[in-house]
Formats: sequence, structure tokens, C-alpha cells
Amino acid sequence: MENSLPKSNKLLTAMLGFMLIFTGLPFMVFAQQRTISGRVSDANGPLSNVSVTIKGSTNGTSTSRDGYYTINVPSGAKEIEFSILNYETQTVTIRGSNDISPVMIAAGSKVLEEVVLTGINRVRKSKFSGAANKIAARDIENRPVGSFDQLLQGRAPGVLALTGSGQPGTSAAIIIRGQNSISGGSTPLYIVDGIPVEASVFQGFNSNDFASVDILRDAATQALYGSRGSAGVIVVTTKRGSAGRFKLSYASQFGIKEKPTFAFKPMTTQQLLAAQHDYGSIVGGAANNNDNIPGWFLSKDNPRYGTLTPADQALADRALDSISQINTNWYDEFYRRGTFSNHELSFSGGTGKARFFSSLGIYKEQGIINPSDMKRVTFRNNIDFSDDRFSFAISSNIGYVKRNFDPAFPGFIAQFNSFLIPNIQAPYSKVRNPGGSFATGGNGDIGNSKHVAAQYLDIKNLDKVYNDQAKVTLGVTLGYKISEYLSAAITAGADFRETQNSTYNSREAFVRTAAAGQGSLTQLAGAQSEALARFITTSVRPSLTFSKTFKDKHEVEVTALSEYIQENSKGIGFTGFGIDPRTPNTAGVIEQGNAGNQLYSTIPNALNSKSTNTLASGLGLLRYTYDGRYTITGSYRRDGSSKLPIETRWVGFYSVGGIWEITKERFAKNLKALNTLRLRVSYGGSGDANNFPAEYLYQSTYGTGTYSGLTTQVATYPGNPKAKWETTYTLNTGVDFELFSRRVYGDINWYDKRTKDLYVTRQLPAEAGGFSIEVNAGELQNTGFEWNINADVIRKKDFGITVFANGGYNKNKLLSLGGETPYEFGTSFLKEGLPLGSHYEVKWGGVDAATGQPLYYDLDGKLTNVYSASNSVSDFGTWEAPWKGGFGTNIRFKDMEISLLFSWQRGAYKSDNLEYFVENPVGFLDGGYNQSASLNFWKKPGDVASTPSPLYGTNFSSKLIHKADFLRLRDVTFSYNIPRNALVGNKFISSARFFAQASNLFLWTKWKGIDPEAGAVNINLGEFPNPRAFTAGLNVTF
Amino acid sequence: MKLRKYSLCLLSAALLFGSCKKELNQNDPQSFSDDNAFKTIEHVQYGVNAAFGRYSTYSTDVYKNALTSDEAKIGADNAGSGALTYRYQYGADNTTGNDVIGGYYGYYSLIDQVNRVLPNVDKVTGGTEGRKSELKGQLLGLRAIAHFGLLQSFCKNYNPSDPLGVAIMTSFNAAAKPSRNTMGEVMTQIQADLDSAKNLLPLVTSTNFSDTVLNRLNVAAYQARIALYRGDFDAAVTYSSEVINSGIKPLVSGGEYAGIWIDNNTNESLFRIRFLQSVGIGGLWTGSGNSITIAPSDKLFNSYTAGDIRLSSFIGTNAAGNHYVNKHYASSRGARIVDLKACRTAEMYLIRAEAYAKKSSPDLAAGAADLNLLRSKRITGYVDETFTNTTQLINAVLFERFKELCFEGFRFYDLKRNNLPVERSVTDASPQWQTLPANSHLFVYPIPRDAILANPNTIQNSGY
Repeated sequence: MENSLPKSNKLLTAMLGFMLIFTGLPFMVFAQQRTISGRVSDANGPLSNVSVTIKGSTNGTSTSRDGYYTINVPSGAKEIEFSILNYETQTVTIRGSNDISPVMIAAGSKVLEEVVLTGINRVRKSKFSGAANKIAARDIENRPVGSFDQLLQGRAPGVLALTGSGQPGTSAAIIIRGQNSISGGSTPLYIVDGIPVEASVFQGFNSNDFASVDILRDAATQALYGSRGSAGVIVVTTKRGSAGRFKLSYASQFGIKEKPTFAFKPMTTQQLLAAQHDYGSIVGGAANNNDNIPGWFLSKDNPRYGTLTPADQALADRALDSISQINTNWYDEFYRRGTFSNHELSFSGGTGKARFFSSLGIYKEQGIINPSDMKRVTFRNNIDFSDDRFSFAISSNIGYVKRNFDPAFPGFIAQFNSFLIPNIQAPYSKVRNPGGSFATGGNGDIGNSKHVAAQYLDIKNLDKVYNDQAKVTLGVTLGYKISEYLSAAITAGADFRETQNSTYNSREAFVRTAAAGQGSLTQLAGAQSEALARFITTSVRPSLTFSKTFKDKHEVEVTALSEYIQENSKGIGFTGFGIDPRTPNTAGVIEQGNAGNQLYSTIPNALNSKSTNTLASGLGLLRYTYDGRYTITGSYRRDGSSKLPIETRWVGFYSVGGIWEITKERFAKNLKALNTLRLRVSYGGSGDANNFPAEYLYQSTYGTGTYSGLTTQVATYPGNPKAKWETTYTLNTGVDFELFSRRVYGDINWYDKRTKDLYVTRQLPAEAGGFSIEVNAGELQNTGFEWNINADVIRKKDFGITVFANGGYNKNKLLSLGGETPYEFGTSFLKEGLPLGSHYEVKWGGVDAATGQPLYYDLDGKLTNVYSASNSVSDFGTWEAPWKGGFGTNIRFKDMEISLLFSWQRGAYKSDNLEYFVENPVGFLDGGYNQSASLNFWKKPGDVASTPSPLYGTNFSSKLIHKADFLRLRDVTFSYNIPRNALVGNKFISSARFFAQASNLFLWTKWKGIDPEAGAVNINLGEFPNPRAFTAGLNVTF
Repeated sequence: MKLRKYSLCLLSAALLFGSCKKELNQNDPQSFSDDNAFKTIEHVQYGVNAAFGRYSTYSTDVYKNALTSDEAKIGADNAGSGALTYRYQYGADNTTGNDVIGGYYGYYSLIDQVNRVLPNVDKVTGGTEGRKSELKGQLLGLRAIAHFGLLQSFCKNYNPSDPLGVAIMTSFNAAAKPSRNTMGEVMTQIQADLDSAKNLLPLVTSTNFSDTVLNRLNVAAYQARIALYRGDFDAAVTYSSEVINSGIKPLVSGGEYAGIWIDNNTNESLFRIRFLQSVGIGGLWTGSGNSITIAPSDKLFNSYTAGDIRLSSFIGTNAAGNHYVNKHYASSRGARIVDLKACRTAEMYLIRAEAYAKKSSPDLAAGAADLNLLRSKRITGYVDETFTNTTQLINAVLFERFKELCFEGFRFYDLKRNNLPVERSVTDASPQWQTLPANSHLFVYPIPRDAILANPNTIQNSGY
């Protein structure tokens, strides 16, 4: 091991140089230049993205995709430094030649370290006591997804990322290290270029602009964010220009999106008619006259048939015969092949002091159902300037997004949508009338099971639900180096978003017409709703940093900073009725209200909302490193939030951490296989200011309304004047390792996270008005471990295979309710000792083979045929998967590269509401709805059936709860760098790359509903499934 | 040392910068608080208006009375709503018991509203003494009616010593955990509130009578209803006579009667719950379009004799030949936008007839006269019936209540009050849920399970 001191020093300088390029800190600049160029390669061939810097200057560039670089060198410069992650840094002395083409050596013992970006500071991994993982640009780029958080699934350990919806641009549900709040939510804090941005509204960002995404999971880092960090922090860093040649790239990508394969197969006409026949022959009585089930109603076996006149019998025969001939595939009517395209133009470059990166993107995505889509234009400008004293960086992004959504079926549950209806519409129903109009039925047929699908298609054809969103994110950092050891900086930023939601309900839609029997005056009139929501977060963060190394061994860094954040939201809107179909999609022409149309007090139906909250904080950070071997970190932070009363508003959070760099110890020198071994421990507290249960939860509130045309006033919330911070304390222990010449590398973490003063809903007695308040009573624990392991199986010239696996196990447990009564929370039950989201249902006992009755277990474990919700138990797990992760491989062969990502979760249980619809003779089959081919109901004594006899209804029970485990082939990417010799003769193109990509290619799951993900919910119904996507594109750099 | 001093200095500077204390005081810009909710008499008026609005919870009585009695059956287009209730498979939870636990929260939130507004009446600025008395009278009247609504629904037949009455609430305290009072205690409070209300409320005449607020006349009507409930038949006769003899809301017939149901007039209406815009009560039995979720029972349909004008007002027949509840369906104000008639003069005659028959010294002739008068207004060509004994008259009155007051929230409570079983007809219900024996625990609706969890002092009714 060559661990001599001078070389170490060199390395340190090299690393600092590398860091300085990125941090934009001041440095000297020289005059009089000369140009040096060359090609950087390693044992395997050309290397891209190698940082090329001139020692003693900020001048730098990076190599192109096929290894080329050009750099202007001041005459006084003596050395050029080449550095890239995983390789040893090379320093080459400048001599006579203008061509310098070094061969990089894969990292041995001395590796240029990964830098952890915390959004507030940058820390070398060796000085970082927390748990963090970085997702590189290559794993985010060129994926046909409108919201970047959907890409996190399977990429980082400890992160549960469930895509909530296949609606283009919709955010995923991200939960880091388990839910840590009941009523407050567990949404992480998102930081983009140092500026806090609104969570779950990312469709205005172009993820191709991202250089990296760091996921911070432990207290030491979360303490940086103090009151906002306890649910984890996701730090996005966007691409910045590097000094050197002006680069222009153009990328273009096209593709398609299509419906995934579903497990439930709707019955065909023959199957459905047979099921109806079975149903009717068992139930008899009123069912004999139920014309919703023609399979029995028109059957010769129905006793009713005998009572008909011969003419009517013939009519019934013909009617049955005619519907038997229709077999509509409703999936075909609802799903489509969506198209995808993305075009991007980016410019970057820089001279000695200033660098820039600009990109313009145009994104278009169609969902797999009409009319869901998303169109986006983004424009990013990142500018950096630095001289020997000042540094200045601007990051700005403007995004404009327009999205169309599935319209709602008036008067029906929200799940009555494009995903549920094709499963339950009878296949013998017609789509269109002979004239071409939708077969929507006649008078009294609104929502009638025979016509629901056609009525919905009619609505989709005429209504319009869309939103327009403008998002501007701006961040500015100004740094000033006061002395060699002391520097000051101020970061200020704003995240602004304005969304305009428009809903047009056409009065021409059949279900809104008098011909359909529509009675509601507002429905008959047609309506246009407009709602404007504005959200702005402003933040300011001044800081002072002192950093010095004493006697070469004692490295000290002290930072003091304060932070001030204000969030303002405002919403206005109205609904106008009586929209003339000649002027659709606007409320410009509305009908004036009068006694006749009764619309007077609803025009306009105005909405308004407004809120402001403020957070002020002060933070001190300390880091001390001895001899590169031992590091101690500490922080203390005080935060005050406007969401809390004065008495409890301010809170202090501290964190401590330690790092032991074992491989720097003398005794480790002989362990050749061990390149790096680092032990980390951290402990600290943080809060959750962004996830309070309510904005003004300590204040009593009253609201107004109307009754009988008169103003009313009622108490709406009694307020909790004792509300205080929910605080989370995390203990994290981790190991970073690199083995066998860095062929195997990764990290392992174990943690124990406790949330104290957990908000618990206290249901106040019904007798006292039935209010509920949020009280700080409970305690919650998340404990688990995470792994992130990579191996370079083959590392040869022209051929390489890397495999990786990451994942985590999290055990969520409600330790205490602080004396509060266990209560139902949605369909889950909050009880000490159980994880959050635990299903709470009566245990299903199967179908009594003798009678066909549904059986349930009572609390004593005995079978009973009496359903009683008081027999509910919570033995059925929770939707939040304890095990989740991802694995995959990158294979490189010459100029080709293929990468695969699998993502999985295990141990999740969800309630499949679709099963309740499609395997339910009572309420659905008898209502004329289609069923799944898997329907197997009890027909005669001795039958072993999964669904009870149609004489008995089924209640919600554990029958519907199933494993929602899955393994997805989430991403397959193939790319081909068009060899330079193929481009020879083309003066303009410096590199070109072709790529093809597929998303959600395969899904392995026992889940039978539409999609096992569907977000952070206990029950899945009518969810927009993850589509399968295929795209291909070309990236050309000039 | 120097370093520590340095860093401490920096830290405190940063902390100071962070203390933008004023900006940390943020109030909800869109809401009032306890401090400014009640300032003027108008704010009290708003509170009283809201209390009247909350009486719309009476629609839960209407719905569950229909579903658990013999006046309704499952409609042709029903996709499950009310089905478990109709089958007597209800429990205390929100899933199976959703229909029958209805009203528990509703009535108590009405009581809470009263108790929040009442102490402010004398504190606010503005308003004459007369207006303040009237507002107080209205609030007390509503509080009594709400407590009575709870007794009817969640307790056994009236027995003053039954410990499982409901908790009496006469002041507001969001965190109170009261126990159930005896039925007698609750009744005492109800009577006291109604008496005070009557003293505070102004006299009304046929010109200034309003059926959308409480006044001395309709409070008397509720006193009659409640007296009959507790078996105080003399009082029932007195109070119902007070209403009938005022002559303010006489019985009507023919088109005048039909007009009541489509909100063309307010004949016979003593108290009305308004649904100005929303479908509300009109949506209990039918879905959008003309889909029939809950239908009138064949038993009810067949109960009307030829010439009964009520049949067409109460029951309609759609194109498919299915019956639907026309009461609270057709409206002159647009389909299904219709007010709920919470108390009508017809009920006063029926109360008085029943009370005459049940009094310790029955007055068969007077009772028969009331019943015959009502029938003569409803049945074209009606010939007075004579009754030979009180049982015969009582049965006739109950049957008449079945026909006259259907879908107004009475039937199930009438059967319960008289210890009668529910007997549905064969064509209305499967054998498993055709009858509900008179002694069944299901006659007492369950208290919502989450209300028991929130207040462990509340004892659940037996059987749940």
C-alpha cells in the first residue's frame, strides 16, 4: 500500500481541487492562455465525464462521451489534473506538447471520494456520519416519466416509493424509513439546489436537468433541516456548466405507453349469462323479475317464462339470442396506446470565472386512457461565477405544464372511473347506437348498469378536466471569502407555483339531460368550474463557516447559519352554471339565475382559501477530524414555527455523530482486500414542520354557511392550545466498505427511529359535539436496516458487468398512544404494538359448504355466520411493505451498454376493493354488472366455493385482504455510443448516442387488482395503473 | 479557546437573525375564533340559524324508520344501499350500522350548537329584549326536540327509571365525558326546556305564523308528540288540542293537500326543515335519474282504499311499472328539491285520537271523531266508521298513522312504542327478514361504536 504522506497530501489537494470546481469557491486566475487537448481513457477505452482541471486555477472542463477534452491553459500553469470517481486522480505536468492523453487507473486504495450533497453543505463521504445514498443522473435521465420521484423506486435503500397513479405527471408516495406520523403525514422534505420546494409537485421540473439526487435518512443530516427533516430529505442537484468548450446537445426521444396485463379477466357474454342464470335459479322470487340479469330474466328455466304469452316467449327468446351475439371488449373502448415524445436542447460551457448550463425541454406524454396527458415546457438556467473572493451561483427553472384528466361521473363515487368501469360493464352492452352516438340508454338510465360505460364514454367525449401549471424555482447563493479560514454565504430562493384547474361539465352529456331523467337543476344547466391555486415558498439562509486544519492533523469546521422560510398559499375559484355548449370550457357565458331556473344563489359559487406559515431557525454545526481517522460531528438547532402556540413554538434539536476510518489505522494496512472500511454512528432529533396535521391546529375555528337562505355560523374545530412539536430521534449505525480493489463496494445501515409527542386524534365525545382534536400523546418506532451492495463482476476493456442490490427492512410499530383510546383510522386500526395502517376487519371464515352462507370468525376464534363488525381484528398486516428494494445490472460491451432495474416489495397487504365488485353476486351480478371469470359462488350443498351463495350478501372482511408483494422489471435501458470513427468527416458532431428504454416491462405479483401500488393506501380501487412504456431516442452533442 | 469563543459568537449571531418573532404569529385568515365569534346579535342569529339547520338530522329518523319497518322495501335499482339495515343485520359500526346510528352525532351536534350560542345571547351588542327572548326560546325548544330525538332512537320504550336514557347536555364543553341519564331525568329536562321555550316565545297568529322557526304553537305540537311518547295521554290531549283549536293550520283536502307535498303551499305544516337547493331529503329513496333505491312496500301500497287522495301524493309508478316514494320526490321547485315536513296538523289529530282511546278514562267518541275527520279529508266519499272498543280504535289510529305519516319518521317508533312486531308482507321481504319480534333488541338502535370509544362512560345498548 502506497500510503506515504506526501502522496496523501497530493491526493487531498486533488480532492480539494475537484471539490472547488463544483463548489465554485474562489481561486486564482491566470492570464495568457494556450490550448491543450487530448483524450482520456482507462484500460477499457475512452472515459467520459473526467474532470480536467488546471492546478491552481478554477479552469476546468470535462471529457466528452468518448473521452475528448479541450482546455485553455494559462501560461503560468504547470500541471493538469484528471479526476473522476472510482479512479485515481492523475496529475500531468504540462510540457511542450499540446496533446495530453492520460490513461486513468481504476481506484485502488485511494479513491476520489463521493461527495454527499446535503443541500446546505457538501461533505466528503469519509467525513459524513449519516446515512445517505446518491442516485446518479444516468439512472434518472431519459425516462418517460413526468414526475422524477416516480423514478426512485428500487434506486435507494430504505425508500418506499409507490407510484400513486399512471396519470402523466402525478407524484409518487415517498416514504423514507417508514411512516413517522399518524395524522401529520410522512412526506419528505425536498431541496432543489439548496432551496426548499413544494413536495409532490414536480411535474414542472425536467428530471433530465438533474445531476444527482441524494437521499438523506438519518438524524445527523436531518438535523441540518431540524424541524423539517424527520421524514427524510431528498436533495436534488441540477447540472451546471463546466469550464471549457461551448457544448450544444440535442436529444430527442419517442415512445409509446400501453395498458399492463390484468389478473382479473372480465366474463365474456356467455359466461356472464350463465352466471346470471345460476344466480336467478338459486335466488328465485323477486330475482325472476329482475331484468338486469337477462341470463335468467329471459331464460326458459325462469318460472316467469311459463306465465308469458307465446308471443312474449318468442320475444324473450329473440332478445336473449340477440344479446348473446354481442361481446364487447370494454378494455378496448377505454384504453389506448399513449404516445410519448421529449425534445431537449442544452447548452453549457464557461470561461475562467463564469460557467453556465441552459436547457430547454419539450415533453409530451399521453396516458393509457383518453384523455389523460401531460405537456410540458421547461427552461433551466444555471449560472456560476467565482473569483478569488466572491462566488455567485444562480439556479433557475421555469416550467409550464398542462395536463388533462379523466372527468368524473356525476353523482358517483370517485372510483367510478375509466379503470373500474371496463371491469364491471356487461359485455353484451353496446358501445354505440346504430347512428353512431353512444348507447347511453333512455329515461331513468343515469348510472344504470346497462349503460354506465357508454354514458361514461359520452361524458369523456364532452367534458374536459384539465389544469395549467406554471412553476418558477429560483435560487441564488452568494459567497464571500472573508479570510483564508472564514467564509460567509447567503442563499435565498423562491419556489412559486400557480395551478389553474378547470372543469367543464357539458349539459349535452346524456346523464345531464332531462331525457335521461336528470333532476338536478345544476346538472341540467351544465357547469364550468375554475380554481386558481397559488403557492409560494420563500427562504433565506445566511451562513458563516470557519474551516482550518491545525498542525496537519486537526481539521476543524464550524458553521453557523440561520434560516427563515415563509409559505403562502392562496386559492380562488368559482363555478358558473348554465354553460352554453357553443362556448365550452369557459364560464364567459353563464345563465343568469332567476326564480325559474333556481340557479341564482349558486352563480357564482365562489371559493377562496388562504394561509400563511412561517418558520425561523438558527443552526450551529461542528466537525472535527483527527488525522483523517476520527471525525466527530455535532449540531444544535433552534426552530420556531407559526403553526404552534407561543408557549411551545420554539424547540431545540441536537445531533452528534462519529466516524472511524478503520482503513487509515496502521493495523489495517496489511488487509490487502480491504480498500475502505468506515464505521459511522449518529444520533439526533428532528421535527416535522411541513407535516403538521393542520396549519392552525392550536386555534379554535368557526365557519359560516347557509341554511334556508340565511347565514349560519358554527364551531368547526375546538383547537388544541397545548399542541407542540412531534420530534423524531434517530440512532443510526453504518458501515461503508470497498473490497478487493474496489470490486465490491457499498454500505450497510441500521437504525432505530422514535417519534415522540406523536399526534394522535382524540375523538371528543359525541355527546359534547363530536369534535376531534390532535393531541401530542403517542410514540412511534421505526427500526430496520438497509443495504446497498455493488459488485464489478467483470471489469475489462470493452466489457464490464456491474451488479447492484439495495434494499431495506423497516419495522413500524406504534409504541404508545399515551393513554388515548385505540381508534379506527380510515380502514385501519391504531393500537399499541401494531404498525400504522394495520387492516382492521372481521376475519373471513370461508363459505359454509352445506348452506352457502358466509362464515366469519368471532373474537374467540369460532366460526359464525353472523357478521358483526365488533369481531374486527387487526391480524392482517399493513399496506406499508416492511421489505423493499431494487437490484439490477449494468452491462457494457464496447460502445454498447445495457442496464436493468428490478424493484420489489414484500410483506405488504392491501384490501382489493375490485374483488368486492367483480366477485359479488349480491349487489353487482344482480345489478347487471359484469363479474370476473374467477367468480365461483356456492350453488348447491357440498360446493367448495370462494364466494357465498347469492342468497347471502358479503360484508367487507379479511376475504378482500391480499398480499400486495411484487417484483417489477422497472427499467431496461440500452444505449449505444456511435463510435467516433463513424462520425469522422462530420465536423460538427462531437458525439452521438442512441438509446432505447422500456418501463414496467414485467410485473410478477399475486395481486389480482389493477395495480399493487396505487399509492399509500390500504384499499385499492379504480387506480390508474403503471403503464408499460417503450421509448427510443438519440442524443447528439455538437 | 479562541476557537470556541469564535464559534459561540457566530452561533448566537445566527440564532438572533433567525428570531423573526413577529412573523411567527399567524392566524387563520379565513376563520373566526372563540375571541370574536359572537360580537353582535346578528352573530347569535347566525348561530340560531345553524341550529335550525342541524335539525335536518331528523332525516336520519325518516330513513331508518322506513328501512327497519314495514313501510318500505328494497327498490328495483338498489345497488346495496340500506340493504343490510333492511335485513336487520345492523351493528354499532360505521359499515353495517351507518343507517341506524345516524342521528346520534347529529342530535348532539345540534345540542352543542344550542349550548354554544345560548350563553352569548345576553352578552352581545344589539337586539331588543323581545328578540333575545325569542332566540333563547328557539334554542331551548331545539335542545328539547334533540334530546327527544335521541330518546326515541337509542333507548327502549319509555320508562322513567330505565338507567339507559341518554346523556343530558345543557352546557358546552368539548371534552366532557358524560354518562347516560335515566330516561326520566332526560324527560324532565325536555319538559323543562319546552316549558321555558314556550314562555320565551311570542304568541303567533295565522298571519305571522312561520313554520320554519319555533314558536309557541309548534312547540305545543312537539309537547303533544312527546306527551304521547311518555304515555301522558291527558297532556297529549291538552297540547294537541292547543294546536288544533288555534285554527292556525287546519286540515285541508284535495288539491290543497296535494300541494303540500310538492311545496306549493305550507298547509297543515307546523314545522318544516328546509332544503332550499340541495336534494337532501329527496335523495333518500331515489338516485339521480329515476333510479329507485328504496321503494314503498307493497303492504303500504295496498293499504290505501279507493278514493284515497294520499296514494298518488305518496307513491308513484315509473315507466317500468315499479313503485317509488313520491313523498319528498316530486316538487314544484325542481325534482327532489323539497322540504321535510317535520310536524303536521294531521299528526295532532292522530295523537289526540290515540290519547283519547288510551286515557285512563277513555273517550271513544272523541277519538273516533278525530280519526273520522282526518279520513274524511283524505278519502273521497268517506263514510264515518264507528268503533266499539278502544282497542279497535287504537288499531285503526295506528293503521292510519301508517298511511298518513309514512316516510315521515314515525312507523318504527310507533310499533316500538306499542310493543308491536314488524310484520312485512311476503312480497316485500325474504322470509329471513320478514318479521322483527316485538321484544327484539334491534328495536333499540345501537349507539355508534366510535362514540363509545370516545366516551367510555357511555354504555352500549344490549345486543350490540
